[in-house]
Amino acid sequence: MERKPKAKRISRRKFLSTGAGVAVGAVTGASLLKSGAMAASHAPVIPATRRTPAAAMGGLKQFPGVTVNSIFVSGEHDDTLLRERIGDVKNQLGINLTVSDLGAGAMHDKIAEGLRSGHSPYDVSTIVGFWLAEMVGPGNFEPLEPYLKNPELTPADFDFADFVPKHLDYISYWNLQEHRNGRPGQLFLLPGPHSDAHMVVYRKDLFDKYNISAPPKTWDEYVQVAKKLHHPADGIYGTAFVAANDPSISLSEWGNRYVSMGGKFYSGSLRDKTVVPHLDSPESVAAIENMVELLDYSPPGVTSYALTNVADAMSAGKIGIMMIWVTIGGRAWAPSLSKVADKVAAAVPPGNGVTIRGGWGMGIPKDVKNKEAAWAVIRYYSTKEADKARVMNYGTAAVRTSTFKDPDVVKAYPYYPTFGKLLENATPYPSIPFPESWELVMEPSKSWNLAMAKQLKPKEACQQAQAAAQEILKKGGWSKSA
Amino acid sequence: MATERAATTGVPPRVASRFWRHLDNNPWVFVLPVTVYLLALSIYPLVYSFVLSLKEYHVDTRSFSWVGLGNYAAIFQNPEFYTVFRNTAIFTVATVAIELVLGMALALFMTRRMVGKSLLRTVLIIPMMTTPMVVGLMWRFLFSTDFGIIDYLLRILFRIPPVNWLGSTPFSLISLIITDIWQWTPFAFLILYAGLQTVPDELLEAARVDGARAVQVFRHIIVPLLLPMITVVILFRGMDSFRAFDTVYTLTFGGPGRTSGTLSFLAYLEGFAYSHLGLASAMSYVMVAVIILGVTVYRFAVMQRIVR
Repeated sequence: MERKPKAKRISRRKFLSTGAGVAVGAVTGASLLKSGAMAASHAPVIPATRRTPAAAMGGLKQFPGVTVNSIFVSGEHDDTLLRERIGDVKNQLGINLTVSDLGAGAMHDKIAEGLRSGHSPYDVSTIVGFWLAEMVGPGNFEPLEPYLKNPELTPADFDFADFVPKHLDYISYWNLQEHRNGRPGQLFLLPGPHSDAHMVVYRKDLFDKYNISAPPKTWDEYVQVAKKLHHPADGIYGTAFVAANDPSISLSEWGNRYVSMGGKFYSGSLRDKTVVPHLDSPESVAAIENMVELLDYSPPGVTSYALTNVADAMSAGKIGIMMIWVTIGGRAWAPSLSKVADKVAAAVPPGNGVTIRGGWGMGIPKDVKNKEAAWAVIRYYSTKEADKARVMNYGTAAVRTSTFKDPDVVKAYPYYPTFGKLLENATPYPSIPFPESWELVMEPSKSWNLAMAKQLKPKEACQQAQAAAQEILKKGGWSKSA
Repeated sequence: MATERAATTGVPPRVASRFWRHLDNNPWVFVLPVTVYLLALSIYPLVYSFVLSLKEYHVDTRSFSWVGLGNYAAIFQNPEFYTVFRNTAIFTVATVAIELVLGMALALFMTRRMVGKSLLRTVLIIPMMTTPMVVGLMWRFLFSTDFGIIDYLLRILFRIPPVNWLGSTPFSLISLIITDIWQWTPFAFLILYAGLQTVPDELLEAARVDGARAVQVFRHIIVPLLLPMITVVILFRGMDSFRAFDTVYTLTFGGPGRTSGTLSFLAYLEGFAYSHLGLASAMSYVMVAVIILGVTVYRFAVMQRIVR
C-alpha cells in the first residue's frame, strides 16, 4: 500500500515569524490606504469666508509647477492658516507650496546658515525684528518695491497703505546706508504673519473669586495679585512666565519690565562706536528681582517654561495671570484652543505703558531662484482677508489697520482696541541695530535663567549679563572705549 | 599579458589596447576613487576647517579676517569653556560607565534560556534605532513637571514632590545622562552579547566543575576574554558621549545657564547661532585634541595590558 507522504510541517518559529510579517504588512498596508483615503477625503476644504476671492487673483501671473518653500516660527500659529491653504495656493497660483515651522532658535540658525552659504533653503523666509541687522543689513534680501509695483504680480486692491505704519517701520524697511530699520529705507520684508506688543491676560472669574478689584498697575502689585491667585491645592498657580534658558526670558520678561521701569539698554553713539550697555542698572536688577519673586507663585517646572508653555498653562486654566505677546496670548480667547475662552480679560502691562514691540516680516533671500513665485506667496498671505482669518481663527496679532477696526475681530477679541494703543506706544527691543543682536539676546538670557534657578543673585546675574554684553559690543567694534 | 587577458575575457589579443595594458600596470588607478573620496570629503574639510579656526567671520560684511591663534586663546580665556568641559567630562564618564555595566548585565541575562528571547532582544535595541532629536523630545515630555509620567510615578509610588528635571542643577545634567543611558545601553549590550557568544562553553564548565562561583567565573574568565569588546564599547561610547549635542539641544538647551551644556553644544551656539565660525572651528579642534589624548592614554594604560 502506498503511504501518503507526510504533510510538510511548519516549525513554530517559522509560523510565528511568518505570522508577524503578515500582520505587520497588513497593518502597514491598511494604514497607508487609510491615510491615502483620508488625505483624499480630508483635502483642505476652505470655507467660503476664508477663500481668497478669485477676482483678487485674476489677471495675475501664474507659476505652474514651481515649488516655493516657506518657513515660519512654530508655536505662534503663523504657519497654520497657510498650511491649510496649500491646496488653494496650488489652485490660485499653480505653486507647489511647502510650509515648515521651527523653533525660533533653530529657525534663526537655519536661515543664517543659508544666507552665509548663499544657498537659502527657504524662498519665503520670515524674519523677526532683532534679526534685521544680521540678516537684512548685509544686503541678503531682495528689495520688494519692484514686486509691489508690478501689476502682473500685485493686484490693484492689495492696499499696501493698510498695513500698520509703525509695524512697517519696525519690520519692513531697512536703511542699508544708515544701518537702521524704518523709513526712509528700502522695503525688504512684508508685514505678517503678525505684529506684536505685550499684554497682561488674567482670569476674570478668579479675580472675582479672590476679590481682586483691578489688574495690577505696578510690578509689585503684579506679585501681590499672583500671590492672591496662587492656590496649587486647587490646581491653580498664581502666574507663569518664561524662566527657561530661552531668548524670550530676555525679550518678553526682562525686556518688558526693564523698559516699563524706565531702563535704558545702552547709551552712547552707534555712529561713533561708543556704545555702553546698562544691563547692570538698578532697573535691570529690579526687573530680575521681580521675576525671582514670582517663582514662588508659579508652577514647579517654570524654570523650563518657554512662551508656549506659559500660554498653554493659561489656556488649560492652570494659572491666574500672565504677561505675554498678544499673538500668543490671544489663543486664550479662541474657543477651539482654550478651556477658559469666556473667562479671560486683557490689560495693559504694569509700569509706564511702554512694552516691547515684536512681529515678523516675510522676505525673499537674494540667492533663491523663484523670486516672483515667492513674492506671489507672500502677497497671498498678506491680504486683508488672510490677516483677518489668522486673527479670527487663532487669535494672532493683526498687521493691517482694517483688521484692528473690524467689528467681527473686536467682538471675538475685545482687547483689540487696547492692543491697538499698545502697538502705537510699543518700543523695539533695543539690540535691533546690532548685527550681534541675537547674541545680545541669548547671552543675557543665560544669566537671567541662572537667577531664576537661584544659582545667581539678581545683582550677580545682571553683572554677568553686563559683562557679556560689553564683550559682545567690544568684539563687534561698537565700544571703542571698552 | 594580452594572451592571458584573451584567455580570461575571451577578447582577442588584438583588441587589448595600450590603454588597458597601462591600466593593468598602474595600481594607482584602483586607489583613485577612494583617494578622491578621502580628499573631497575628509582631507579638504579638515584643512578648510583648520584654516577657518585661524580666522574670524564678520556678519555685517560677510567676510573673514585673520586672527591666528586668537580663537584658541579666546577659548581658554573663557570661563564658560571650563564649565562645559567639566559637564562634558562628567556626562561622558557617567554614561560610559553605566552603559557598560547595564549592557554587561543585559548581555549576561540574555545568555539564559527563556521564552521570547528573540523578541526581547529586538525590543532592547529599539532605543538605539531612534533619532536622537526624537529621543530628546520624547524625554522632554517624560521629564515634564506638569504632565510627565516620571514625576507622576515618583509622587504616586514614593510620595516625592515634583522634581524640576529640566530646569534645575544638577537634575538637568542627570536627565541628560538618563536619556543617553536609555538610548545607548543597547549598543553596549549588542557588542558584549556578541562577545559572550565567543566565550568557549568548555572553559565555563571546567570552572564550574572546579567549584568556581558565578562571581569568580565572571571575574576571572568572562571579563578577561571580553576585554577587547569592553574596549570597543568604552572607546566608541566615550567618543560619542564626548560629542553629545542632540539631546542637550532638545532637552535642556544647556540650562540652567550652561550647567548642562556640552562642548559640542557650545561649539554649535558659537558657530551657528552667533556666526563665530572661526571660534566654533577652533573649539572643534580642541575637542579633537582632547579625544586623541584620551584615546592615547587609554591605549597605553589599558590596551597594553590586554595585549600582555
